[in-house]
Parts: sequence; structure tokens; C-alpha cells
Amino acid sequence: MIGTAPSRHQRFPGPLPPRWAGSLLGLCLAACGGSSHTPSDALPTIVTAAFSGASATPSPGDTLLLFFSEQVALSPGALVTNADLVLSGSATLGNVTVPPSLLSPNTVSVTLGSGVDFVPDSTTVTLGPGNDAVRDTLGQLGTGGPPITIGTSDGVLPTIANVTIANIDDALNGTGPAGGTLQIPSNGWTLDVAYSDNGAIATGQTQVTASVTVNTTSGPQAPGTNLRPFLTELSANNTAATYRVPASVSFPLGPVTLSCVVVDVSGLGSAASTFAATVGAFTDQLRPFETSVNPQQVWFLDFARDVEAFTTSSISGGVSVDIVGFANTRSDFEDLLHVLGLLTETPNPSTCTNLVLTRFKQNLLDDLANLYSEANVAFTLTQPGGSFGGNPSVPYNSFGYSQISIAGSASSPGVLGVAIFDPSNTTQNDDTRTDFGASQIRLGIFLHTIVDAGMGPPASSAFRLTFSPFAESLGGVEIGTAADGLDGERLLGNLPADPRSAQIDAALADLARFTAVVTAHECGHSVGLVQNGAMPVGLYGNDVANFPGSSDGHIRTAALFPPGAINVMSPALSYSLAINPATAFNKLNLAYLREQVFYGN
Amino acid sequence: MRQLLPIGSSLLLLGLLPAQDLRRGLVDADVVIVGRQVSKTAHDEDVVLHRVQVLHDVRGAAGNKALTVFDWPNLSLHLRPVPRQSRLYCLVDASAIATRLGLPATDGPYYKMVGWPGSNPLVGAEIPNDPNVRFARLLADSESGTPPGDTASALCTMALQGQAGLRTEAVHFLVERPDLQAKLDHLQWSKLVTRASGEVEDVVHKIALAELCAEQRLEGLLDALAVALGQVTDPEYARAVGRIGKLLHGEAATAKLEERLRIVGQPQDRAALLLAIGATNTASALETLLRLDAKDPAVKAALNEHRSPLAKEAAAQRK
Repeated sequence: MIGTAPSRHQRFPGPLPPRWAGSLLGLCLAACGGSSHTPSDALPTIVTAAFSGASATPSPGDTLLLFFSEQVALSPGALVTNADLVLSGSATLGNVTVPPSLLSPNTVSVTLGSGVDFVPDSTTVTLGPGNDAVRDTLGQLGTGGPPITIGTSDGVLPTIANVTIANIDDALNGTGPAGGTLQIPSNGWTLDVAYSDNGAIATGQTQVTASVTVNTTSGPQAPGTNLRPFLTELSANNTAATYRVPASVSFPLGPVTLSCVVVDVSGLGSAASTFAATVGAFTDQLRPFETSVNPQQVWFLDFARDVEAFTTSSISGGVSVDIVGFANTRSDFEDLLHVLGLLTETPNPSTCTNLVLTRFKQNLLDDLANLYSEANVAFTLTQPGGSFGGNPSVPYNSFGYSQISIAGSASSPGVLGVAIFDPSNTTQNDDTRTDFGASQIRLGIFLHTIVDAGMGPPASSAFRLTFSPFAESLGGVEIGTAADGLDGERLLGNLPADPRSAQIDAALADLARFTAVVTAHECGHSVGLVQNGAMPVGLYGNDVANFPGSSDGHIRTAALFPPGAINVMSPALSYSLAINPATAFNKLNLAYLREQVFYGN
Repeated sequence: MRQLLPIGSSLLLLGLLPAQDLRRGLVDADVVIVGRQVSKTAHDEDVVLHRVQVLHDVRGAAGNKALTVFDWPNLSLHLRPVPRQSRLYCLVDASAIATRLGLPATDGPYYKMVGWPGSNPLVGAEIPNDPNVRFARLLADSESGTPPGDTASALCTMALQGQAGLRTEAVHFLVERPDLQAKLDHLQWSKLVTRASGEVEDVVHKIALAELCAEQRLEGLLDALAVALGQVTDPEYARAVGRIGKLLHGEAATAKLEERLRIVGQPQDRAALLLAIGATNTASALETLLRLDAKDPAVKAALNEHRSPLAKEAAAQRK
């Protein structure tokens, strides 16, 4: 059914907030007044059915399980008989004498009577016009719906473990102790469902419904309508499914509760699992990468800063990288690569300098693209046209890019990077300044901090073991000075089995990865990460009670990452943590960058 | 900028947990105080001035009862004064900024905070007895006449008995001060090695202790550290053991770890040992790993840890 319009009666409302339920009930009563009406809330229908008995052939006393599209109630004293259902062919439930029972909010059990006759896995069932037994919570009697083949129960109901948006962890999606409610645009986000069963899941029968009327290419869909056919299925298997809400589907502004049911191949359905969110007006002011003028956020990576030079001095157990306070006509970034032995004054061959810089920068761009995957953000080494004209920030749509320096030392000890914090990314920012606020504060990425720290003790640190083969001050042989003269070949990848090739690869890859993570962090600040407060006010920045180790504008979510990895927007990063492949933006930060959630109003 | 101690800096980690790099802040600071932010004034849209009352002078306050700390609220600074809280402040001189902005000397002296993670911890009501303050005092006193042997012993005691976070700071400080390491006696080193081997809860502390002992190239250290592989499943520990093995034994590290591999029975022990072998990044490690069972996920993880092109190629073929 994917990609086709559902039947008018294919629907599945989740539990409604009381005030919605009340108003809908009032509307229904006022408009309907009797037997014929056009419900503003979808009627309950059967979404799956399963026979459960001692043998393969139904006998009196066996059970038929009916799973409904929403929470249902049974009319007092009423039986579920052939008069309430439409069974295919000459099938019959027999002479039902036992009242039905409600096994779960959306599951009705019918005890079959004498004369029962249907064929599991062949006979179909749907609610008939004569149904007087099964109602929804608004009191509406169900009727119609697509014919559902009665399966043979495997005895174990599928279970939904989690429903969320944009794959955001429970700790960050409003269902965790930190509270809050996700704020989402009318479309563009993904719905993620995780589930389990003892067998296979009939992914084509998964139900996704909303508590509000949703606009689609087939017109408005009443609350409770199965929306899955209107969604783009990104993946669906026996353990999880992800659906994207395409631009052709639009949720109305305001609170929404999404509800999901999965069905296994034996015809058993899960209990409904819900997720509440708020649909907000995704205005240009709140949208981080709005496209009315600029097709995307471009970041120019500026390596040119030259305000200092560096020397090394021997200290007990290592080397200190000392700052010399004058420009030396070589960028501070390249100065540090010389300290690390990745560059040398007169390499052999002379192409080594360009090869090292090219590989480092390409690694950096690749890492940044990976960290910002699916975000409308691009990083470039070529400065786009235009100038900030001395302003630290200009309105987003007046200018084509932001920029950040990758440079030497910071204004204060211990700082890896500083950037302008720009809530909701309303401006383009110049993070290359060296005198922010006329107060001598440098912005950008400060590699001197890690190089100086890393070249000291202990000798067994990852940094030392990675760079000591090259740093002259640590007894290494600089790239381009190997006695065999083959470093150029190594840089070109022509000697893959050579141990020094592996060392060069690791050094360039790890330094680029570290730089990328710090750059991603600082650029993250300048596009709106991490606003303080719970959703929809912020992205849980500074919530030290729920996310220990967080600080103003930062969130540390160590529990959501494997050991040795960390959220990019944590207040502090180490070399080892940064180069860990699992270090990334947490799912909420990433959802913001992907414009699947947003904050503010 | 004044250096409290003649050390260069450095360490493996730039701080992560609350404990972090306090020692670096203490070393880099011109002034260390316990202070309480009592007011703030916006100088302009970019600069804010916090007035901080000096509650306790660890060093450098020169009798000032209050001082002014700069902040830039529109920047992504990781540390900034928190209103009405008693905190340890590691400050560096910012008089040049004050002069540039034309601020009156009567509102000074002017400082800015260092950026090291964890260098602005909360301080309890009993200020002199607060663990962070005591650590700061220990480092300050080491510069002003306390014999190095006393400082080293105090740091060793803190490393073994201190509270989480601070005990790791003490270890890191010892790592960065070979002159203090030289003051520790045989018994103290024995206790440090025993703790490095036996610690199972605080993995960050365990790794720091292991690195400290590696600086001394203590006999039998790799064997002592390898015993905990498997008991401690955090891959960061296995990586640290691998690095230490390479530092102390070079290519021979693989054989030493392989010896233990032959006697361990538990899968997690074996997996951790293999990871440590991979983390040595040695040719002998690659040779060993390429000989092992191609379908073993632990072998594949170890090959990935090795990172050489041949190892990565082998790991990729073993999917």
C-alpha cells in the first residue's frame, strides 16, 4: 500500500489529549446527531486478526483475536457475532454465546461458537455495518475498513520498544527525566519505530496515526487515519522502521500525538505506542539554514592567520611548545605542523609540503562532511566573494558565508576554540577575528593548545606515540627527511605495506580528525548549538542535573556514547575522545542541524 | 603570564570529567582565589564585567578584597563566572584589556579566566578544607618552600586516597613532574603499581596511574597491567596497555601479551588482550593477529585497532 492513497476508512487514532477528545466529541455530537455522519475522528477498524486454537482448524471454544486501529470499548452485554463482522465467503464464527473480552486497549478476544467455520490464513474479516459491539473512546461504532486475512497466532504479540522522532534518544526527546517536548516543523522529520517479535513483522501492515488532521496530496486525513501510505519509508525490517514525512504531507501547528502499531506475520498486533511533540511555525528567523537567499550555510576554513611563531624547549619528560609573539610570514597553522614534524623546511622531494597539506585538508573536509552529514552545511577551503566589512556578524541573508580560523594559540590558556554563539543561526559569523569586542580576544580553532599539551608527558599518550616518529624535538624524523627519500611515495600511497606509511597516514588522519571535531564544535556554536533549556526552549544546554558535566551553551551526554567517545558539543574534548570514530553530535544536536527539530518561538 | 611551576604543560587528556585539567589551570593562573560573583556590569554588547569578592586567597590576590573578571557573553566560552556561587577561580592578568577599553583602575584589578576544563569548581562552606582548595594549596605551597619530597608524598597520598577526579589530577601532576616522581620511594611506587593493576571502577584513574608508572619504566609493569584486561572491559584501558607495551618493550610487547593470551579462559579477557595487542601498532602484533581465527570478532576488532593498511584490509575481508 505504500505510495497509494488509503481507503477512506483506513485509520487509527491514538489516545487524544482530554481537551481534544472533548472538543471532538462535542463536534461529533453537534454535527452528527444520529446514525449518518461524517466523523472528524476516524472510526475504529480492524487492522489485523489472528486465530488461536488447539489445532489448525477452528473449533468451538477457540479464540479469534481482533486488533483495532485505536483504543476501543465494548458495548455492555453485546456479543461479537457474524452480524457485527463481514467474513469472506461462507465463513462463520458459529453460534457465539460468550461475551467478548478486551485483552488490551485495542485488542478484542472473541470465543468462537458451535458451527464455527473459517480457514485461517485465507478467510478475511472486517467490521460490518451491523456492528453494535465495538466502539472507540468517543463512542463511535466501528464499521468498514479493508478486508483483513485472519492469521494463525504464533502466541507472542509483537512489542514496540520505542517510538521517537529523528532517532533522538529518550533522554533528549522529551520522554526522559530532563522533560521537555520536541518542537518539529510541519514536515521533513523522520519517525523511528523500534520493535521485537518472535517471528517476522508484516511491515506493510504497520499503522502510523496522528491525533490531528494531517494534510496530504489526497486531502486532509482525519485524526486516526493510517498515515503510513503517505510517508516515505526509509527502512523497515523485523526490528525497526524509519519513515520520513515528505514535503507533500503537512502537520498542523500545535500539539500532536503520533501512534504506532506493528503487526507480525501471524496476524498478531502490538499495543499502540505513542509519541507526543509540538509542531511549530518554522519561520526563517527560527530555521537555522533557511534557503530564501542562501541555498545552504557555507563555512570558509581560513588557515592564513599569522600572528605568532613557535619554538620548542625541552622539559622533563617531553617538550614544551612556546609562543613567540610575532608573525613570521608563514601561517600559524603551518608553524605547528612544522613543530609536529609533518612539514619541514626543505623536504625531499619538495612536493611533500603540498602533499601533506592537501591530504590533511581533504581529511578535514571529509571528517566535517561526515560529522555534518545530511545537514544543509558545506565547508570550503576557498573564500567565497564578499567581505564582512569589519563586522563580527551580518544578517544571514545579506551575506553568503561564515568563516573560522584554524590557527595557533588562544587568548587564554586551555582553550581549543572560541566562536560567536548565534542562536538559531540568524547571522553569518566571522570567527577569524583576533580582537573581538576590541578586547584582544581571538576567535577560531587553537591547535597550539593540543600540540603543547600533547608533546609533554606521558610518553605513552596517544598523541606522543602518533607524532613522536616525526617531531624532531621528540627524536623523530620529519616527513620529507627520511633517509630513503621515499616520503613522497608514502604520501602518494604507493608504499602501503611500509610501516612509516602507516605512521604518516595515522598522523595526518588523526590530526585532521581532531581538528574536524573542534571545528565542528565551534561552527556548531555559530549555527545555534547548544541553546540552554529543555525543548522547545533549547536543546538542554547547561542542564547539569540531567546531563552532568554540561555547561552554559554545552551538553555532555556521555551515557549516549560508547566508552571513549563523546558528544561533539561537550564542554571539554580530549585528543583521544576526539579521534574516536564514534564521537559525533548527539542525536538531538544532529536533528537540529538537519532541521528536523528547532527551538524558540 | 606567570608560571607557578617550571613545567612545560601537557598530558594525554584535555579533561573530560569534572576533575579534568584543574592542575593546568592552577599552574597557568596568575591568581588563584576562592571567590563569589556579586555583581555584573555590561561594558558594551560584547563585554561584561563581573565583580568577584575574594573569599580566600590561595595565591596572588595581593590583599585585594574584590576583583573584576571579564566575560564575553556572545562567545562560546566554556567557563564564565556563575552568579552567587563560591568557586575556585584560576585567573590570568587582563590589565591590558582594561587599559584598551579605558576602564578605571579603581574598579580593578582586572582578570580573565583560564580555559582549562574543571578549573572553576564549586567550593564548599569550609573553604580551607574543601578538597579542590586543598589541592590548589598543595600546588601553591610547592612553589613557596615546601620541600619537593613532601609535595610528592602528599600527591601520592592523594593519588591513592583522594576523591574521584582529584586523585586523577594528582596522578597527572606527578606524570608531568619527573622531579617529583624522583622523590617517591620504593614502597610508594609499589602502592601505585598495585592500584594501577587493581583498580576496576575508575578507569580514567587506572589509565592515569598506568601512564605514571610507565614514565618510571617499572619492571614487570606490562604484566601487572595486563592482568586487569578483561576485568576492565573499557577499550580505552586496552588501548592504554597497548601503548604502554609499545613504549616499554617495542616489538617485544606482542610476545609478552601473547603469553597471557595463552592462559586466559574468559572471552572478555581474550578480547581485551587482543585489543591491547592491536593497540601496540607493531609489526609483530600484525603478524600475530593475521595468524588468528579469521571469524573471531575479537580478532577483527584488534585488527581495526592496529590501523595499518594491511590490518584494515584483513579486517575488511573478515566481515
